[in-house]
Amino acid sequence: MEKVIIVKNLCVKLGNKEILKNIDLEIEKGESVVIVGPSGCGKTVLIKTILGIIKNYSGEIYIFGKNKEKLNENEMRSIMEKIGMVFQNSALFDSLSVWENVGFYYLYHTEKSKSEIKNMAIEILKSLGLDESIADMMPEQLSGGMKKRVSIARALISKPTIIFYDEPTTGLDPITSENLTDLIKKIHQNYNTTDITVTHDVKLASKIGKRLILIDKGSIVESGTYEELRQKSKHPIIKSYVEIGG
Amino acid sequence: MKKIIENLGKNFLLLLKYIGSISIFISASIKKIFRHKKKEDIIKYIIEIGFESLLLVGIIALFTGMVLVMETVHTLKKFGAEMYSGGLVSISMIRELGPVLIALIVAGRVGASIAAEIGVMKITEQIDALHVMAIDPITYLVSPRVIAGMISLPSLFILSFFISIIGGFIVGVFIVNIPSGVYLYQSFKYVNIKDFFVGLLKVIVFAIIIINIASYEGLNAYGGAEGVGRASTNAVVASFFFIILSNLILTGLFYFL
Repeated sequence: MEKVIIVKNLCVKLGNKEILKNIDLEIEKGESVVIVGPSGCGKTVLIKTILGIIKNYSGEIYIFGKNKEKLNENEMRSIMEKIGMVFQNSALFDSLSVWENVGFYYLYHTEKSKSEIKNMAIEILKSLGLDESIADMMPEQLSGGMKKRVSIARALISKPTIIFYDEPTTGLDPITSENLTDLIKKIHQNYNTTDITVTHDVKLASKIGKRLILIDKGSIVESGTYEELRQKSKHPIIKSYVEIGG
Repeated sequence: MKKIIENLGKNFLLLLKYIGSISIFISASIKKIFRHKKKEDIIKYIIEIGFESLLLVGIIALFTGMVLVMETVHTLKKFGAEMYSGGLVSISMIRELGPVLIALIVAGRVGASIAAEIGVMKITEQIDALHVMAIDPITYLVSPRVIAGMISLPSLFILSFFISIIGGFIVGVFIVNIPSGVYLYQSFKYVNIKDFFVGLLKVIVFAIIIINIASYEGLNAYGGAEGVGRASTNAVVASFFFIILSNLILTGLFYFL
């Protein structure tokens, strides 16, 4: 199976604090990996480092077999086109309408006409169960759940092969959270994406994660399917997760 | 005593570090100036930086022209030289007051808002979203504002020069009773092309300083709403300092050395 992400001996220091220590990770094409762990353990830092948002690190990161450090601007752009990211607080651009947010990648990088991009954005929004009428709204007019869906639409528009989700269900009510979990699962199946999800939500982790990775104090301490971890792991964090998740 | 010297040294090193970081940031934003692809953004920022500052700059220039005549005419009268007050207004406004006043107004009004806007984008991960879409935040957010500032501030400078002459004219002609022809003749007699271009150069340098410091502070904001507030304050304070410092250097270069 093709490995889409390989991380070797990754260490990240922010200020004087060591956030990640000697992380080794391989993610195969089509996998759905969930990274769990207590607050402040370095989960988000890990995905932000893989994505190039955090640049101060040691170790090696390969995306689609290419060493990230050795890519020029154009190569990096063509790789980033195949990657989508759904941020914890949606991170929609306040000054742009919903359709402009969704189509922003194409508005900025291509010569496609605005109407063409708007139509593409509306199609994606509809496929995620959102009404066409929200396309011209501003992000502040949307509910938390809608913002999350718009953020997913923005990640999906370039038809990515890898999608990163950072705490996708945080701050949502249980029903919206449940719907979003189903949506993420559906997207994974329909678009055949490789999903990397960072979450505290045990239900989400057990539903979408084919492989769970536990990070504690900056290191990977456990890895396996939910069932494997549930049955074999003696790690106290996994035990408490299993108790909550059932 | 030892501690005071230590603290002074520490702060001086911090200032040098800040100047270094800002210089690197300015060179990056200038290098990327022609990479920005959306021309409509530049027009949007010209409206934000230039057009929306017009009223404030106009009022301040008008009052400054009036005040300069009020302050100087009594002294000049003693020597029978009150008709020269027009020249004094125009020389002050084109060489020093005009560029510095405009820069301070724009730094306070626009610098703080740029730092706050970019700061909010930073803490709400919108800047990270740009990275993920392979969009460089400096190219997208800073460079078009630098272009807009380099167009807006010189325009405000030229306008404020003429408005300040009108302000001085109102006091000089209608209150002090200087003949209007004499006042206007004196206003333009002493202004030469060098003064005009040095004034223009100054406002262009100030524009680069204001926009870059505000953007730098915004992009380095951290810690929620408090961090955004801190970024805005730092942007205004640092801009004021570097405007005054660069004015000293430019005046020294063109009129003293």
